[in-house]
Amino acid sequence: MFLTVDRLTHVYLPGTPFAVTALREVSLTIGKGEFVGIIGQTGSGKSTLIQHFNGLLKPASGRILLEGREVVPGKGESPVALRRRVGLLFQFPEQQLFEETVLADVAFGPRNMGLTRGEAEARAESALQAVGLAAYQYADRSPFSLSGGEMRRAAIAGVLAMEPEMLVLDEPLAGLDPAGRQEVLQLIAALRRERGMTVVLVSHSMEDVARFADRLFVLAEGELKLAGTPEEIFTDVDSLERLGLALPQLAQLMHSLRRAGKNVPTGVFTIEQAKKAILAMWHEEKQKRV
Amino acid sequence: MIRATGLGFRYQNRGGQDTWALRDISLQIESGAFVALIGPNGSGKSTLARHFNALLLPGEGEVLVRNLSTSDEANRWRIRQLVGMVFQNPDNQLVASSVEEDVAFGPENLGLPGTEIRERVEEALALTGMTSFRQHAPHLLSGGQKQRVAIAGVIAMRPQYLVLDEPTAMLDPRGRQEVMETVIRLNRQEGITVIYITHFMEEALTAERLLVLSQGRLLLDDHPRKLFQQAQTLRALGLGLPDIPELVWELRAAGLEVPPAILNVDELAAFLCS
Repeated sequence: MFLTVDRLTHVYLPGTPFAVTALREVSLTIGKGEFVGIIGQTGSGKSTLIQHFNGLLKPASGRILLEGREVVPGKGESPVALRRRVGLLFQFPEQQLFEETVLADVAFGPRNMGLTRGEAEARAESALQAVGLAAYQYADRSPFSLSGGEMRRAAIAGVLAMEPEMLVLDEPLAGLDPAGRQEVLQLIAALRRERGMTVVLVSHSMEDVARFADRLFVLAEGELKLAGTPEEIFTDVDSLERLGLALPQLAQLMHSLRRAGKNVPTGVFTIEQAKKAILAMWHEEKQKRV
Repeated sequence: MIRATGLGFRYQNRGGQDTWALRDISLQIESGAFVALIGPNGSGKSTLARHFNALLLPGEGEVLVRNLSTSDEANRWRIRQLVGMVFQNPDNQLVASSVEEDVAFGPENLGLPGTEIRERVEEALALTGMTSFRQHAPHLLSGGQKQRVAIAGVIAMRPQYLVLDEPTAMLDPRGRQEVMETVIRLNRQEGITVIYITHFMEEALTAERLLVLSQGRLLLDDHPRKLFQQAQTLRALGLGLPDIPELVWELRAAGLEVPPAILNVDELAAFLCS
């Protein structure tokens, strides 16, 4: 296991009248090279959970383990190692771009890690390459002159330049247009495919997590309510509805067809799969009629 | 009625060439309509929306709101009262420490008598389904609730037009649904004209008219059921189709006679079961 979360509880403003338990006894594991999705309504604890993944928040109780070693200051695995090995991209990360050039912005993280300017810029260039912003074209531009999708990719480059092993993305597609969403999704899929990077995707889009994630975690009111493959999660329609979450559109279509007695499979999340299922159903019914 | 005639607008770039954000836009939005405005990032959607309440003024051509030209400074306050705006980020639009104070902010600034203010706040809270939250602190509400408070604040100004610029971009699915339902209710029950900017094609499908902007120009203007047959054009713009119309398109290409006007899960399920 790359990361293990063991009975994690987090309390905001502990010991005050405003204390709020944001996470309660959450346990989960994430394997190396895995692509996991985290879903749940606003306020369900998703952001609080992922901030523990790279040590920005400390558990009130429970433990975080990095490759089996507990993360504790001074003994076990150090929080600094966690910070370096897990890259976290916040929501609307383009609001955090601040340097005068794209290259300087992306190199900021590696510089802070104590690399020389040359090393940091070399890393920044290769990170820009990885997100599809050719360095020769973008390096000297102001980050504020980029389009929405480009800014988002530049922000991802800033995290990649730290060369993390696990990438945690909090709503990386919010506010992007459909083309920008595709750009960023393809990029994330490629990072995983080509570099074996471990990816955690927090998203409100059931379509995206269903298509890309190997496993899903469903949070509600600070607790882990469901865990499983997209096929398992999106077949448990009653539980999802109780948690205020919807099925992806295509899964919803398949669910309606099954309820009407049609023979279509579960685990249908792409247009291609849906087309195949419906054509098969259609031919089967035609055969019967003949 | 809002009418734009030959509208063009340029942002001034420091040093460099000015770029046209809008070019030769002519359109008419009837009272009571529900219009969705879509287009890629940078296509001019927000720029166009800001012309409807005189936050931006035409560089070329003219915008009329109920026959009042936005270019005439004397009309500006009247126009801003007629056309309310709601933006993407609810946190940037909330000003007070309780929901009802927040909603009262606009009417108070109009200098209305206290009884009138109270009446308007009541009405706006009821219309957005926020009455039971009146004493709550806005910053502790969910995203969907915050956005409904922002809408209530605008409604309390009694506008005839409501322009919403990606009001659901930062919300979860439930919040998006709350906002969508509120906006539809204001349109159908109160007759408020709605101009709704969104990147979510599923939301755009609920409108009765869909405007597509590309590079500052009005590219398409039709009923969603017709527009979605223009799959190629939308794909070329990088907008693509929502899953269900896309699937309908693919099934038709495979020889299945699915009606091209089908837009949602229920319609497609009903057809496939018939």
